[in-house]
Amino acid sequence: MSWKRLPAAPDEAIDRKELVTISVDGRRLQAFAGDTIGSAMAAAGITVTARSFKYHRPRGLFCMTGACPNCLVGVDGVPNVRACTEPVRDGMTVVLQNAWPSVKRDVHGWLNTFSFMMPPGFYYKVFQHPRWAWRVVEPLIRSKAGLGVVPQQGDHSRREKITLHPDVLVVGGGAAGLAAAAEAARAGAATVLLEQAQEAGGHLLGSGGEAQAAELRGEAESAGARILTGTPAFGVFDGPLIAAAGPRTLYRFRARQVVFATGAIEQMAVFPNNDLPGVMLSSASERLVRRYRILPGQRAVVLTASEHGHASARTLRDAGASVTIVDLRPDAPSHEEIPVLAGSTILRAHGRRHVEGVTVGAPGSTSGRRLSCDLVVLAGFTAPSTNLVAQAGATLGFDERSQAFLPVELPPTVHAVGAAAGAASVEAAVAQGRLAGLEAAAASGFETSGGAERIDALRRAASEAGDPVVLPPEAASGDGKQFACLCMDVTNKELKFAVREGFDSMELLKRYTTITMGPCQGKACMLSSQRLCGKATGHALGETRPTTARPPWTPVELGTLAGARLTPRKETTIHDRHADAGATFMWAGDWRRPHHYATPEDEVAAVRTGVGLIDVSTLGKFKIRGPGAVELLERLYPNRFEDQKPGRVRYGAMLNDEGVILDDGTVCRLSEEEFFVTVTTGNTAAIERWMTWWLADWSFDVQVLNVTGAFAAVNLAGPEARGVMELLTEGDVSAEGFPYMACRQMEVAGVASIVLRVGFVGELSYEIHFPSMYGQDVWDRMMQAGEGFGVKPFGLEAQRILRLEKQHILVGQDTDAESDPYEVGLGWMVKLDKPDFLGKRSLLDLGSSEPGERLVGWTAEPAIVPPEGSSVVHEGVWVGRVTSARRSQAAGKVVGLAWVPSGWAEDGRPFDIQFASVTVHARVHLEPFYDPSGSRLRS
Amino acid sequence: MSGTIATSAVPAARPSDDRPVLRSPSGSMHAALGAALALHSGWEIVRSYGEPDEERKSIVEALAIVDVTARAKIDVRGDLACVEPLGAEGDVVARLSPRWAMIFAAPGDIGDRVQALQDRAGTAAMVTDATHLYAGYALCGPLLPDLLARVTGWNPASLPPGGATGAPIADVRAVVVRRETPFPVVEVYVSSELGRYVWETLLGVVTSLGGGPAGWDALRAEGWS
Repeated sequence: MSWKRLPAAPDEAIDRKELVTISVDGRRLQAFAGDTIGSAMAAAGITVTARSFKYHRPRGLFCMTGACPNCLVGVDGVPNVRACTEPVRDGMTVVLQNAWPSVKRDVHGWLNTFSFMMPPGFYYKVFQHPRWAWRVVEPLIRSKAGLGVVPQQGDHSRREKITLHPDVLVVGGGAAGLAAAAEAARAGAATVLLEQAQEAGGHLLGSGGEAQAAELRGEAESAGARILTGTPAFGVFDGPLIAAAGPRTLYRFRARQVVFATGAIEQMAVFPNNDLPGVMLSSASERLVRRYRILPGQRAVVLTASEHGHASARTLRDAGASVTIVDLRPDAPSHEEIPVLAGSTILRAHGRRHVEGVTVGAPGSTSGRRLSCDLVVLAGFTAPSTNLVAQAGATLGFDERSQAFLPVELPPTVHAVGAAAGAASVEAAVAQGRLAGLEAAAASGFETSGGAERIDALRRAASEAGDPVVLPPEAASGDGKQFACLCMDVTNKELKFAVREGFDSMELLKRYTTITMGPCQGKACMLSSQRLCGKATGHALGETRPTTARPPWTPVELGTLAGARLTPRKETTIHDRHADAGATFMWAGDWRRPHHYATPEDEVAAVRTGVGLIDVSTLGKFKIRGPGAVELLERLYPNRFEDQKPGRVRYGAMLNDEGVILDDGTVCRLSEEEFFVTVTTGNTAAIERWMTWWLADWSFDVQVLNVTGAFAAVNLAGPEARGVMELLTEGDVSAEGFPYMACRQMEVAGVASIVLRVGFVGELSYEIHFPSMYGQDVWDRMMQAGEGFGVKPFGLEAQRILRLEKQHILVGQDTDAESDPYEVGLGWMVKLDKPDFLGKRSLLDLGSSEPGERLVGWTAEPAIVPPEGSSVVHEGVWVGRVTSARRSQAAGKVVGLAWVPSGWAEDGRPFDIQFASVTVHARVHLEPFYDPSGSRLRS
Repeated sequence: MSGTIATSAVPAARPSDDRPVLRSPSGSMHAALGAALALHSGWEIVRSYGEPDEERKSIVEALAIVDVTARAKIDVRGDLACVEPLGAEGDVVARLSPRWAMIFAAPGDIGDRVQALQDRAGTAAMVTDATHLYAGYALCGPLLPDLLARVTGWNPASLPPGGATGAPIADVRAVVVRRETPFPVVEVYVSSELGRYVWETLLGVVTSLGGGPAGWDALRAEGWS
């Protein structure tokens, strides 16, 4: 087989002055700029471009539009790239797929001979007995069937996600789409046109319409339309949101009006060996000849039923091929130079690795005349590309003239034009496009000045009726595989077999045989599948609807779908100081927080014996202000607040309707009608939603403002904390003037602050909240003031040890979705005599019964600290779990919290903890492990 | 912008009364970019990144990002009618909903203004100094639509000049204000704890589009205040 370049021609897409070198399966090929990989391979005489999915049959260029699976190749490690549309780049490495050692001589070709062993659904039927057989055979089958190989190394190159909001989005850059874009843009609408090919023009390109395509392109561009080539729309989602994949970019369009001008896709004819290399659609032969100047055969047979096929035949003849036209129409026109076999069809193709001839005869006959040829062109059998417009909500109805399902009802913001809407000619498509462009612009609020006369003329042209479409027979008789679906290697015989098994609709056939489920998503096979299904079930084509349209209509790389990865992270305004101090950071929800600076043990020791400073800016903070503030808090918490005096702090826990603990924190009363509330770091957003939701329901006269970001906060803790505070403020920080669980508004380090005397870590502590942008300077001043006291910054790990030594719980870690205040020892805060609060009804029910389990402290002396989540067991049976565990220097042993049966909540009761194969003997310890009287934090 | 900018070397000198310095959450990132810092109304702000003329060019011809966290911000929630007029001369008043407005003003102490507004509102509205709640970034230049297309699914064209709205920017909630300036400017305000992330993300996209960071000098020279 020798396919060579033809002499230069005006409409060619290649630049013969610019040479490009690519490698195909290790072979260096010389191509021209403007070539696709497919055309470059064709010019080099590579006619077998892939092996088929299941039977490993040789396949060659078929469509040249990216609508079939026949030329999927690996390019620079990326599998399943369509060679026929992928432009060549100098140095690119192409690997042909699904064959070994090569697509030309693939040892797995034997599978074709044993295809009788692989009927539809064979994986449900064969190798099922004995039971182990399938497990052995399945990996073997999988290794032989498939497409490209998924790259083992991740692609970390930058991808973009771009969202655009044009007034008018035109999907499809053929004649109709370009005309629509030109009109909409001319009216002033921000217009974007999406074209999947590298050049807009659609079927005008490669069929002698290059000049018209250029004219329409120029018109659209000069009107201001933005044309995105190489950017196929692949899905329509709610909104409508239209997704498109550009080079390394995911586009999301939310347009006011959408015009679908997605054209029509040429379809295959079904006859034995219709998949042989050398059998191709006219879109392929015309593009090869006109755009890439390659003659794909010397002796061609063109099967057609329309003028389109005759034009394709003339193109081949003009390029130097001898051509025979096989026309299904008994009254087909004749030509002087091209023989026409009227009223005939192709009954079968002959050949092994390439087509060598065809048998031609009357439709339905079993024998005919054999013609020798090296090229078979299937011309003019098209199906409207309605998948995307159907995804957009269009209703499809059968059109007898075009023998196709067309959009008949459209959502108000959607238009369908051109071949996708059944336009019978280029002129009709252009007219439909112009009308839709004008309508879309007008619907977007732009004035259009088409002129009544012009609009009438456009309407007349748009409604031009074409000749009735004649389709080839559904299938031919005789031996040999007749493929309905090239992607999944599904034959006419297999479809009939599946229908006999009861899978008698398109949707069932799709799921059982996988027709239309391959890489082409039904582009090349939907019509043949529908017709074969209809024939097998005794239904007309109009009664056999296409399968449901779903995204993605065109393949899209997962990396493109993922797009640029954004990981929002929260950092306090003191973050840089922690980094400067050598902190090791960890994620705490969305926050980056210091886990430790030196060692957690040293940091714990500093707090217990001197003074430590921790950044607690991550705490959620709310200002609650207004006459209804107390009433709101009384409803949100089980605690009582009406008797809370200004300047006092209360520890509280919020409950949900079931009485389950949602969150805990402090409530400071700043004045009669103003409170400062803190909640846990990870729950801030949820609590904001919770409060806002209930506030909307209760309608109290109160305002709630999340001020988390407005305040930085630090906790200065340790026996020397007061000494440091005295250097930082002129306010009274004495035990009498500023006692435990009090709050003050005072200037600290020169900044107005809210200071709380609370003791999460069990020592004398001042929790200082101050305007966040002062963060770094205030931190610096505190560290400076603490220098003489040996102050050390401490991280989250030290804080966890310190709080555990006091048996202070962490909501979410020590509690779960069923924990109520009684079970965790917080029953003291529940005031059931209050009129109402969230969870009261549930707690009233609970109050009369003993909790099933309790959260208790425990101690042990194991070599290894049991991991959180370890099991609490009784006689080998799971009865509870460890929620927190750390080695405590203060207690001299391992301490922790665990859920145990409530009857076990007795000081000193032994129990076992198990993890992996280790058993730890522990004892219940009900009091805090450190300073049980609380004298240190009250000091 | 009112007030005088006192220039200093990096890092900025302390004010004479030795009060703590106010810094944007992304302050250290500016320093790493070689910013010339200055103190203004207690804030450490970026005057330029060394090439003020280039920065002006970016603002007018391409794309620039400026840290405007120092702007004063007042949050008003509740009955807005009772505190009309909300803004003073030079303020930008962003009405985000019928019961939520924000006022953006030149850097400086706004305690008295907040109190005055609160006094007028009584209990009908809550007036809060939100200066520390938000980090702010001005995005300027004709390539602004290209930038926004890459960082938000929200439609910027839906926001008229002088308008404000809540919108997702770089996957976080933001208050977006479109300024009435001779060149396109959108100011993005995000919760301060997200300031470093948002600056880093926006600067990455700005740079990929051929723009860069700019200081207050360039922005003011082009008529922004």
